[in-house]
Amino acid sequence: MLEVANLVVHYDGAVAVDDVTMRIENSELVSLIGPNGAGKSSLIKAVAGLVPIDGGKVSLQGRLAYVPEGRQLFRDLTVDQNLRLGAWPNRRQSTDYVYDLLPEIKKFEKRKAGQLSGGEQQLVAVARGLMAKPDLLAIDELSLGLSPLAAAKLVSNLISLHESLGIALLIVEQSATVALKMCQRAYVMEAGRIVKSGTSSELIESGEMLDAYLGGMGDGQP
Amino acid sequence: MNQLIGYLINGIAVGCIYAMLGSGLVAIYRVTTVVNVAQGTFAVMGGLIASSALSFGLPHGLGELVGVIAAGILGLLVGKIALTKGGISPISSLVITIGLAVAAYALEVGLWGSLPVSLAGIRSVLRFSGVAIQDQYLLIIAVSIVIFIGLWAFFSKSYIGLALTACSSNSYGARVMGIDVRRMGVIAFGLGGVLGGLSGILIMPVQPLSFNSDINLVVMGFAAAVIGGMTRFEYALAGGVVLGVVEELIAGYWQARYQLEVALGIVILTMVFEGALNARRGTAAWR
Amino acid sequence: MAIDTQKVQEISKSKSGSRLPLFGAAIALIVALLLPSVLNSANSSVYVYTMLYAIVAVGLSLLIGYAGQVSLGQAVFVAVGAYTAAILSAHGVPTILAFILAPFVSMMVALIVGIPLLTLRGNYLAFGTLALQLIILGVVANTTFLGGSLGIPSIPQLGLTSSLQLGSAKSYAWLSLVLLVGVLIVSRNLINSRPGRGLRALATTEIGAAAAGVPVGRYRLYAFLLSAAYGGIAGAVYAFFTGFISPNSFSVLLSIEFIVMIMVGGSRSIWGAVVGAFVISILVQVLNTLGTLHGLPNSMPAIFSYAAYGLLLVVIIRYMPDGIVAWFGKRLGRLTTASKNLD
Repeated sequence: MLEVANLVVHYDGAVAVDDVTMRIENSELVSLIGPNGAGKSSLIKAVAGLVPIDGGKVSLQGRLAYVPEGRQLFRDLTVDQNLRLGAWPNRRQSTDYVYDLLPEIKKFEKRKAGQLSGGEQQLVAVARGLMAKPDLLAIDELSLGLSPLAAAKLVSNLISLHESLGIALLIVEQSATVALKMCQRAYVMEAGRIVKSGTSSELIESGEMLDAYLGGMGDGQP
Repeated sequence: MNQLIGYLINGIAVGCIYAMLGSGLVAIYRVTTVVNVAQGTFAVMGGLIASSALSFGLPHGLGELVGVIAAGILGLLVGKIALTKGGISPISSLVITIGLAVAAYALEVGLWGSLPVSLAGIRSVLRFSGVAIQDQYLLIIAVSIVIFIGLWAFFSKSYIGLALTACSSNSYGARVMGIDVRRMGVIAFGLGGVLGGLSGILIMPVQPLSFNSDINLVVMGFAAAVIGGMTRFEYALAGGVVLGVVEELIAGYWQARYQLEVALGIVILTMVFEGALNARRGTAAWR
Repeated sequence: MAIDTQKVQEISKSKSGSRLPLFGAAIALIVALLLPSVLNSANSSVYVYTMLYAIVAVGLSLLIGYAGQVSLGQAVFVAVGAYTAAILSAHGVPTILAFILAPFVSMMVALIVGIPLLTLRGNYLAFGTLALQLIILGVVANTTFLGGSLGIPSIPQLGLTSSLQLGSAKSYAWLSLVLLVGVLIVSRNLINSRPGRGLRALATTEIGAAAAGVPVGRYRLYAFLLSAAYGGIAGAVYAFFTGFISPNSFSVLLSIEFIVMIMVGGSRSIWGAVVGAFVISILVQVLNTLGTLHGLPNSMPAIFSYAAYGLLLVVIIRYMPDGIVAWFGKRLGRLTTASKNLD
């Protein structure tokens, strides 16, 4: 579905993504973990076409929707209006589609997005991404700024979406706990490079990696 | 008392013109954070083109429509030139719009001369209990009501209006959605052109315009818009009407010659006051 | 205007790297000194106007290029200087005294309006200065004491001493050259001083400058006052030289002309302002000559100059944001490095 080969991205004159190769199969749940500044966001933005590529190749079969870091909702618009824009430029796409998938959003469809809690906003951001009917949904910093409870709820929502729609998910996370628990496979990034990859269980077993790159599994959940 | 009613109606009508120009500036500023100095040019060009269209024998209504459409196209053009693909600072874009406004002088003087041009509007005068009001002023108010309802509907109901608001709310978020923010900026300029053209064809029958009327028009439009912090149409409407009425009252009860100066003074004070308020709130007012 | 730290550094590096600009300035000064003695009186007038334009433009470039604030109403300070000189000398004040007082009055006006206006930034400041100009011109046009919209005729010639009166265009040419050189020296020293470096920091990032301990508000005001003073000097000379001023002499279009000049020359250096004033003056002369050719309508010179100012502004900002000097410099640099590579 997604193939990234030898990708290089420069950001402000520095190398943000350095010769990265990765792939995601159809309906796969993959996470991209690493410390702050590892280049995860640059990588995913390059895949989404938001930053120019300075080398290598990105090939994507199907549609990708990107849920940016910090949600980037339109705070002055209602939730429903936010969702409608998620289908841009397809004005006829009805928002009922995501209300069926995520019924709890329906409750605040008329509220301004800026008035929602962090967890609600993240859910709306995910829903807005779903409006494009993607085959791959890439979520940047999924649990950042959310309480453990809100993060857990969001994860269970995402997993049920994944199961019912069969879409592939790429989760970018600083918190290894959240990422490894929900995803089948993970890539670990540091200083612009992929330093480790494998199934989540393999990575959890190699405990040194968690200590070295992620500061243990202590953050996020007890 | 009757005199006062006359002043108020005239003031509201003139204020609606300022509000229309101000709304054009707001439409553009919201998306691009550029203050379009060529906003007055849209009014002048729209009016001049309408006058030519009428003199070529087009019926009323159609001739004015031609002027408004031409102003809209001009708006798109100005937007395309002022917003470069690579992106430049808003203040650089502002200077480009100054350049285009001045370049338009060449066209206007060349084609229409430098004397004020009038437009045939409604010539009739409404009289009741000693008050005489030119019907054109009433027409301006009526059309403005329709235009502002239309603007509200456009921004709250239409998909493209929604996208324009999205760009002003969070331009990065809009880009993530695949919305081309620069193109939306150009569309906003087109809308600004239409609003400018409308104000031109409406005011010209009562206040002939010449090529260099644009400066006063854009400054008064800016005055109306700035009262609403450059981002709210309803405030621009209120601001325009207040300015128009104040101007008319000053002209009526004191001296017509100071109306512009007083209105501009109000604007400067508004901006400074707003800036001080923002500074106190700790929000940056870098505009 | 599109402020880019990296570019600023590049430019300043290339300047300090060679003696060429200094040498060029010396040659230009010698030519400028000799020129008035060979020019006829019509061309001497052009010369005077060019120098006066340059004086104002240098001030505006301090404001825009160094302090990062755009003034769309710079002509208002020229007007204040001109009116001060005219009114005072009409009321029996010795012209030399009127001339000396003019920049101070401009500065005073700048101080009064600058304190509130300079709390504004960017777009708002630009419009605020434009509104200010419209207000002041409107008041002048309606004040009989200031000559109203008809203006003030028969302003006396500038007398340096009781016996030495400036009469010919030639003498004004030399006077304005001396004034321009003075303005340039003051500005250059200012730029290289500590406040000047603070100012430059201001243009790039105001917040950064404030964080670095630059008294941002005060420096912005100083730049504003100095640019007003330069405007006042130019205005006073203009009033004595032409002998007649009216509100129309200081229109919004004049303010825009100053913007065009510094954009053409490059807003990041005071030399750019001089180059811009020179280029625009020459261009206007050429266009006037073309516009007054036989068979063309009377409005042709105006049409030409509107088109030229407008399109120049657009083209410069879009394609040569550093001004034509830097634009040609870059291309020349590329050419010379290319030829060096061939060796």
